[in-house]
Amino acid sequence: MKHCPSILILACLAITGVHAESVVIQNATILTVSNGTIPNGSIVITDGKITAVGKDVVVPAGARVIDASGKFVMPGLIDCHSHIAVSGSVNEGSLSVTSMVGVEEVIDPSDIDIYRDLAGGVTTANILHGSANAIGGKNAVIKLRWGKDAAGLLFRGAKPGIKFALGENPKRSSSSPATDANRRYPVTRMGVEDVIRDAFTRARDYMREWKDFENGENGKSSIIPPRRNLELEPLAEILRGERLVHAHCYRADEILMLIRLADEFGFKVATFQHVLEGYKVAKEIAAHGAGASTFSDWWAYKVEAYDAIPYNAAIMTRKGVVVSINSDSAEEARHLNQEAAKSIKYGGLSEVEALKLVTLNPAKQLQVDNRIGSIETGKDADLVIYNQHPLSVYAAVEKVLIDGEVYFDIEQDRKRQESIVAEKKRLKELDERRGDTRPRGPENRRPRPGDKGQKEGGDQR
Amino acid sequence: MKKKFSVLGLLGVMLLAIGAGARAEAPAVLAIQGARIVPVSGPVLEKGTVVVRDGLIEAVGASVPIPADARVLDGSGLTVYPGLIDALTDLGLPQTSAPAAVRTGGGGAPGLGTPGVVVQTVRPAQETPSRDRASVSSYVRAADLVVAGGTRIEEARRAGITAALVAPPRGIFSGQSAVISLGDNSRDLVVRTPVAMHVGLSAGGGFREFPGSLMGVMAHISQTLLDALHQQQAWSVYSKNKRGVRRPATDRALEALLPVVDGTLPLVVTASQDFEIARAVALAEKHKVKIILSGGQEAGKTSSLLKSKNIPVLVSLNFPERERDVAPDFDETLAQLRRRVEAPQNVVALHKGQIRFAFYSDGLSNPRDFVRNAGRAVQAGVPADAALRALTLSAAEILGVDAQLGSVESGKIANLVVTDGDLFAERTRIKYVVVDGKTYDVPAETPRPTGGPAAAPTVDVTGRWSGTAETQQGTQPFSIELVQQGETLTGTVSSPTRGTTDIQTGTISGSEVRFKASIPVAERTVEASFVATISGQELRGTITLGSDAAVPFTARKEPR
Repeated sequence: MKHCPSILILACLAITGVHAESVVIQNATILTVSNGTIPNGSIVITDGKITAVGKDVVVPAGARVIDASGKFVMPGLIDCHSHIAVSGSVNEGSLSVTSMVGVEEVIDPSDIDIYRDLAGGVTTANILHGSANAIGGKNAVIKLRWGKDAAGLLFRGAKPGIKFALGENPKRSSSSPATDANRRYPVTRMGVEDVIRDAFTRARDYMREWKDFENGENGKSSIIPPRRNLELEPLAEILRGERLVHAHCYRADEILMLIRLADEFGFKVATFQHVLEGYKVAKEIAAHGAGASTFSDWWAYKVEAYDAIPYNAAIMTRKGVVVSINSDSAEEARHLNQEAAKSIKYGGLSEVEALKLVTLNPAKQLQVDNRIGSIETGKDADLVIYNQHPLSVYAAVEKVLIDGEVYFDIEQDRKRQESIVAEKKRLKELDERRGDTRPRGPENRRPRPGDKGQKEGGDQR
Repeated sequence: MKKKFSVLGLLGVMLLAIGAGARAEAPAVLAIQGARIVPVSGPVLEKGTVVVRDGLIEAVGASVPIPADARVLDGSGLTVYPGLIDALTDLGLPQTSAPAAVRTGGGGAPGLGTPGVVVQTVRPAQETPSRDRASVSSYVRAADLVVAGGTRIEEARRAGITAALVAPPRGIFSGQSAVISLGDNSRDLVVRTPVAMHVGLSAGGGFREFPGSLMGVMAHISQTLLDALHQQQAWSVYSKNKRGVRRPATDRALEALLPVVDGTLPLVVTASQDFEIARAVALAEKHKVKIILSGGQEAGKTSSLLKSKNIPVLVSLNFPERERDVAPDFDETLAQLRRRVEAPQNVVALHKGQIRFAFYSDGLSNPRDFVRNAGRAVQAGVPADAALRALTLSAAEILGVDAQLGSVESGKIANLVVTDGDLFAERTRIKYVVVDGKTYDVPAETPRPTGGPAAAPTVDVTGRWSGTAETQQGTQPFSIELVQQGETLTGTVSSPTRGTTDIQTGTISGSEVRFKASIPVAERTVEASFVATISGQELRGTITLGSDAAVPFTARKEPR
């Protein structure tokens, strides 16, 4: 305990969410993911970044100490497919190409799922548009900084992305054909490919139109600038390599289709999502350079999701694909560590390989592995402290740090719940008191038919 | 003094010209003598006189001579306030779906999915859209639609409301609002137009029409504002280079938005929770447009943001109430409890944060709750003069009509509220309301039994009803099966697109029918709340889907 100057500092640890200049986590089993396991090690955090990791580190004077004796520390979990914290529908399902919409504009920082997933060790999530359309909306990569506003959740510096979707959902073959007038193109897999090809063709035209205008190539008529098109601008960004494609898919044939189409237009698919038949085309996925973000053992919820195996993650890993396990569910995100652990039983991945499925690999897929995904000097201090080895079903999250700040603490959570009960009691009493003092005049009742003023159909707003 | 006499002389001539007919209906000159006067713009006069001539306040003061031609109202024991302003409402607008005046304008009704509104369901238009786009009825002016009269206006007036900001209710860009004075003549209701462009963020399109989600609405707003800028740019270039340049298209929706992108006409955006407010402010910043917030239930939490951007807030006085239809032991969440119990605290925070704010009725079923709920804010700690200012002069300032309305000052429109005591006191009664110089007596309320049983149902609604709802996406057919047992209703609601769902918590009281049903919308279910009045074989009322604005519906009983 030579690094622990006094008992007073330990008392300060109870305060959560306070940003300290320096923090040190001591006596922990550190699962670095990138550089093996350090028993009885320390992590020094300064200004939200990891500044030292190891058995013998220099602790800055005045550093706040978190004693993690007997605990396990791993990098914050990264969920590469999530739909939490969105106001309104996650699908703009009206059109087959909705690249004009973006999750970032409708982040709901009050969604309790942020806190719940945080309590499951998730520190970063890829918030995706739904899978209703071939080209869906733009994503938002967020850190689960519960309590911050929408702007405060955004992962600054993360590369922007967009959702694509192949197969059943965008062609919606299962939806009722009764409303023919509202039927949306496409209704076949062929049509899905056509919609995507058409969109990129239009995006190329759009880029050329702007180039012509900027170069003044069209004679006098180009002095009126082209209209800015929010649908095509994100697609132009994909073609320029500035936006990542996260493509929802199931079947091997549609995966190959999108690889060919991407090659045709000269862009890369960043991740195939779900990708339950990825094991059949793992070599091709690896050759394209795409990542695969899949489930451990969740399938058979529709026909295209039948030919799935729990060895999917392991087989794709062995074929050289960067693989992650995602949740696609606010609930599943609370135990991604266990989802990763299943790949040890099914497919024989090593412990480190399993941990990578929910840390370093999704970081690579989101192209933020320079910032997060492992416990290394220089990376963001996004850390989870478990009471047991995180690949054990008995492991429970005790603390979660993001940028060096404690955002979840199981002890604080208990106190928080007590304070919620007390606050509710106070408000209910206030409410009852108000009920007594409220005027009970006849005008206070709800207007009824026959009352004057009720003849025009009531209130419309 | 000489000048004053000549003005009076001129007025006399004008009065003669107007003739006896107008005077017979409403004496053009009124003097309220010896009343307590709360001008809001200045100190209270404990005993003073207000002279109203020809719709305007002619003089206010402690020793103002009573004109010989004035009808004199003894003000002893009475207090004169400026007429109250409801800072956002649909008062005076026709309550049916699409106003006929707009239909004849060509190109379709505002955002209602009528045949003129073409919505691309396959691919968005590739070229500059020229015809009307979904839910953009920016060219609709409330000023063209308002009509005087009707019981709703009468009820509002009795509650002291003498002027209102009226906005077209439907669509994403629903149209341009106007401040109206709640008088009797449809021709001169409007005090100022346009006051603001109104934006609704609710999406009802589901999977059928763009936009069907909030993020779609946000994108639609952005694209439309960009298109308006482009329209401006294109015509500006074209007007200087008519020869050899292909002419741009005209577009009434975009042209109506030019003052918005210029930063001269503010957008009124509804936002209640703190993150919604931050979202609306971010939207305004992104497009460099002025905004006024409406709703504002949690605006107090964001007062530093609003203060730094000098954004005014129209605060809803429709404070949330406990759901009437839940079980007695239903446990509200902390957030729900806070929103409900601490609703008036929000106004305290706005006041302390020095935010410019006014109040609006937001669909209060009883207009008298307008002052009453402002009174709750006073009880919670808002100084009474600040609450009164929000109901009068602050509203006038935010809406740009403070030269005409909002205080008892000479030269302003003669809109007054005359009470027998302090406006916020529980037992105070509004005795008279003056609008445009015309005095309306407010009859004492007839005592009615309190807390008694609901009126017994007077009709039998059992049977099958076929109806239509006027949604943003156009007319939606549906049918209702109702089974009435005493005051309880059961049955189902069916529609071709949403399937059949059971009715929950259905009641009938007198001729008022209320029920709820969980309707599938997109990938979740949303509670649809039906409120209607039955007359003969017809149900007429509104459907509220989740937190969206209520839409009107009618249904007819099918023969058995």
